[in-house]
Amino acid sequence: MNLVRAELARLFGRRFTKIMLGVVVLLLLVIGFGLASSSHKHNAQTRAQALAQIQQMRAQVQPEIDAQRADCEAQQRGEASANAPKFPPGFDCSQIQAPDFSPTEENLNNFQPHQFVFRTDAADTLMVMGFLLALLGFAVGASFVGAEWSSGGMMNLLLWRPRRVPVLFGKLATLLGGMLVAGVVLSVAWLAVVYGIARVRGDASRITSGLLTSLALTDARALTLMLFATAIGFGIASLGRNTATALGLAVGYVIVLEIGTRIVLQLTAVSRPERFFLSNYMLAWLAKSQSYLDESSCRRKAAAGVAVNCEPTQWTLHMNQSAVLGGVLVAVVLLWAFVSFRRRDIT
Amino acid sequence: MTGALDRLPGAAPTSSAAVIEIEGLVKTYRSRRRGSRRALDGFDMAVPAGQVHGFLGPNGSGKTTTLRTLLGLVRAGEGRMAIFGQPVPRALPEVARRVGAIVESPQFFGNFTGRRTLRLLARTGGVPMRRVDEVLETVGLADRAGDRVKGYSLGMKQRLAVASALLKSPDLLILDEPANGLDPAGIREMRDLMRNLVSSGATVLLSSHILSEIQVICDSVTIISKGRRVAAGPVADVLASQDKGEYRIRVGEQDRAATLLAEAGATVRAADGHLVVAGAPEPAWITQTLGGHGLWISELTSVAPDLETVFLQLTEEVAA
Repeated sequence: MNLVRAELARLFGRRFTKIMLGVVVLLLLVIGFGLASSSHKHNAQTRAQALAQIQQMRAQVQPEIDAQRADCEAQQRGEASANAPKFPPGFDCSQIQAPDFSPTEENLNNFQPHQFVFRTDAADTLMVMGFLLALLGFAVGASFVGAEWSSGGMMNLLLWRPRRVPVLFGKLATLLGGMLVAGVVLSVAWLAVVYGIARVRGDASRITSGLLTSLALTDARALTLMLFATAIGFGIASLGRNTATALGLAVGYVIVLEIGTRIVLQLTAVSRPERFFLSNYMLAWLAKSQSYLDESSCRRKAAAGVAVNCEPTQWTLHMNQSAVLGGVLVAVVLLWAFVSFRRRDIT
Repeated sequence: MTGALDRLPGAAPTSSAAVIEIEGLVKTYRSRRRGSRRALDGFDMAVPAGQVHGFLGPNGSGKTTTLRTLLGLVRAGEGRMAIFGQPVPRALPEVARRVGAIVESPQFFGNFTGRRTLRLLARTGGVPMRRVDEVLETVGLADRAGDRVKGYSLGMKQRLAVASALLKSPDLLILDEPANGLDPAGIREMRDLMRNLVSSGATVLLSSHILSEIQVICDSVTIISKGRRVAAGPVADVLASQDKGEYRIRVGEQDRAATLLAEAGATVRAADGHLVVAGAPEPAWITQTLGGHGLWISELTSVAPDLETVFLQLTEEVAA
């Protein structure tokens, strides 16, 4: 317990932790400001303007569509004038229809300025927060143990508590617990900010218990992603004995794999290249699933001579796959870090 | 106290009052790039209780490796170690509460104050918080305890390190180069501190390069070279072991005096306007021999080796 209290004080007493927390709060505030400034609350006036716009559009478009259909029907009867647009023989002229300009709720929304709707948009903002928290967790996790290694603090700590595995486990548990508390506080505050934006500048109606449950689950997944990233950052920095190893590896991964390999895979037309990138699994984890089109399926059909009007095959990454991958990654990195820490000479 | 080593077959006799016992310690560092290097090669050491014990050796001789191995930071290849009679590293969790240590110069987070650094350590070790102010006072850092460590001088950081080792009110204090960065007054304070600790019943193991300091403060020493013990025991005994019974004399007609003493059976060499005489049974023999031929000595002193001389002799012998 003493170790946990001391480690908590170390974690939140460190300038790096404070700066990183500040950066995340600042980024969330910037995003919140962007949401608020781009959202315009719908009211009777904007609705009336939208209705008038819809009617005006219908008045403009309907005669043009009617004329096109008349031309088409005339062509099908063999009575077309020379200037009329050409339609293929046998074309079904009844397909020529004006867009739906009825005053439905969807049309009215489309013709009004953008409005932030808590019911439909809050989950997306939680996902953005999840990515930011993952970055925060990785950096703080790496720095928390990396700074101890590079400063000699780890050696000092082991002189006080010469039980290696409990010491490292205590540090990790404290880190994860601390980050979880910070993440919960941040996400609750962020949801409150988002709700406030919806109330003042958008739509905060129709908040049901089902919606709140769904948001709570999205938040839980965002926090889990943060904890995974924290544990991986901690494990890599512990293996490399400094923060730079973890941060360097992360930057290297982004440049080499997420950017470089993505380009190479596109050039070489590999099937379903999205499955090779961690960022896609993170997205699938936050959104429950993420669907992609396999462009190579059409190329394969074309090569076989059967690609007429080919629709690419759709495939989906599910959050279960993300959970397995994340779990294996965390388990391998932490196991490696603990085994190495237990055996290595501390010099 | 019955040392854990005493029960081991083939163990060398060790002092029954030894606080630290090391026997046959071997450590080899292996590196893919640099190959393997044997840092400790069957090293033995016994640190008697209630003394300041000096631990001397040239750079790279294995001092820090010994301390690290003793404290469980480095894994030994072979050998046995015990602290307070308990085999280590297995029993380290039990004895750690009684051992305060600084190994090399520990670094601390620059943005934490000295007091906060110690409070965190105290909390980690379950030490009462009042000890923090006590040790800050002891090492002379009380006035600067609220300053950030990054603003400390090297000497102040060293004092903070010593303070951290004192927090537990240890029965055994292991200090690796504690005088690093200290000014003469600081060195003197450190010496007084160690003496006070020993007078209160503690034992201090002091690794240092400042041989004059070791000679002044230590009751006993162990000298290590190339991973092996080359001398050990009370300081006076170690010095005596290298005492060649030489006398420095100043006399008129130096060449004639040298000839007379050599003819009488002594070994004589000239040095800085003096003669250094070895092999004389006692000082009076020199006086008598020269006086019998009308040569009168104006100065006669015994050439007693200091620790630096002994250290250099022993370590150079091993190196050769």
